[in-house]
Amino acid sequence: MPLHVGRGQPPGDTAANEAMTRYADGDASAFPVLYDQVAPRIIGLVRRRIRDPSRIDDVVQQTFERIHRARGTFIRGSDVLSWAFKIARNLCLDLGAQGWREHVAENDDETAPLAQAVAEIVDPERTAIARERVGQLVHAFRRLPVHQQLALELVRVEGFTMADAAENLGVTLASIKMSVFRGAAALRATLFGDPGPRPRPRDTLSHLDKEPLHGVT
Amino acid sequence: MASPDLKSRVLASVAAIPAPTRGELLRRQAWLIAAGIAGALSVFWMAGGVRVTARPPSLVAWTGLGTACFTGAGMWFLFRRGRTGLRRGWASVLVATIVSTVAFVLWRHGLGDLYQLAGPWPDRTGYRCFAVSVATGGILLGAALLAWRRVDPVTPRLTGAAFGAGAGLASALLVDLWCPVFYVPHLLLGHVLPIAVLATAGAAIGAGALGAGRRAARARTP
Repeated sequence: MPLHVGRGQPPGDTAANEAMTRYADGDASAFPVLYDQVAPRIIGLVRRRIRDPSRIDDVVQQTFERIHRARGTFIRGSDVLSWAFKIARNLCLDLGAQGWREHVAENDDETAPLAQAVAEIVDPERTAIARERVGQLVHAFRRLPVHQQLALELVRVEGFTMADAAENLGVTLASIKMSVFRGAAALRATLFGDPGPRPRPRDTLSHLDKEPLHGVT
Repeated sequence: MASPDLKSRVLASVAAIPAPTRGELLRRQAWLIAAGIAGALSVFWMAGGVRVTARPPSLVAWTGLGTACFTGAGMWFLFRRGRTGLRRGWASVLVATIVSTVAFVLWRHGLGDLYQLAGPWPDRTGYRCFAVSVATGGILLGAALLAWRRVDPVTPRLTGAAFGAGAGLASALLVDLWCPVFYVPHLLLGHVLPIAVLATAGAAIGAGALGAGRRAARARTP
């Protein structure tokens, strides 16, 4: 299945949090709503780390089982997505998958319905270039230290605020800001040979320290 | 995209696992913590309870009041959770423990010095205070670990350490009312070391008791 997805909504999504609050209070009908709200984000996070689809499903299932077991500890007004991400990351860590895996866009299944639909409406050459660029980006991303990967993933891919990302990773605000800045600078340097934070046109990927990593999930 | 097959699998597995709701968990926690406090107080009273001995009552009152404030503030920082509902990191737990411990030791030693009772006391090394602290704190820690067992899938080791440090601070308050010694080496061995011991024990036990089992993912995947 091709890798897709854009930037997620920031945490604090009220529908998911309301569903989790109801579920914590014992309303079983809220769980499917919670699943629909949170599962796509969890799947995206896990797929960035694990390739095997059966393992991905296992990790997602266990994430929800753990959320279910610990539902009584959920505090009203807190963020279920941040909680779920941390559980899923812990499970990935148990499987030895801490950072992002290698991107395999060139090996995507060309027979997948989505891939076929894209091939019919987009110039194949441009598709190939875009895939190559995303592959380069992910390759560069994987070479970053893990703390920079995690910081960039939460802030630039998942749309967390710096403060929420710092809390999720258990580090200080200053530390997360530094990780995001250095990670983005390192990506820029790797992709474009640009060591400094000099601005570049928006049609390249040089604005990584300001913009989300669209298409990388 | 989440597949319908996965969704039905998750819904089925969740339906088969019993999990306490917020209300049920709160009741369980309230009972267990109350039992833990009662147990710790029983041990404290069996050890002698509040002992004024040669201390002026005002000194007992001031040291107790100050220690209660410092340990209370320490516990608040230890147990609070952030805006997203996650517990603060290791640095936060460490700082809260160290600052509140140093504060109550300085307060106690300073007051003892003011009353000219902080001189060396060679025959009171601090072993008895250590034993009472570990016994009372251990009961509190056990109650907290039981109350939160299997419901912290995020940071079980950190939560266990916070519980241990909190139990140690609470036991320091009890022992403060019991112990007439203000000599710093005694305070370090009998009043401070138990906090470190209980926090370490809490982290070690909490990793297994509070979490959902670290090897679950590996065992279930082919």
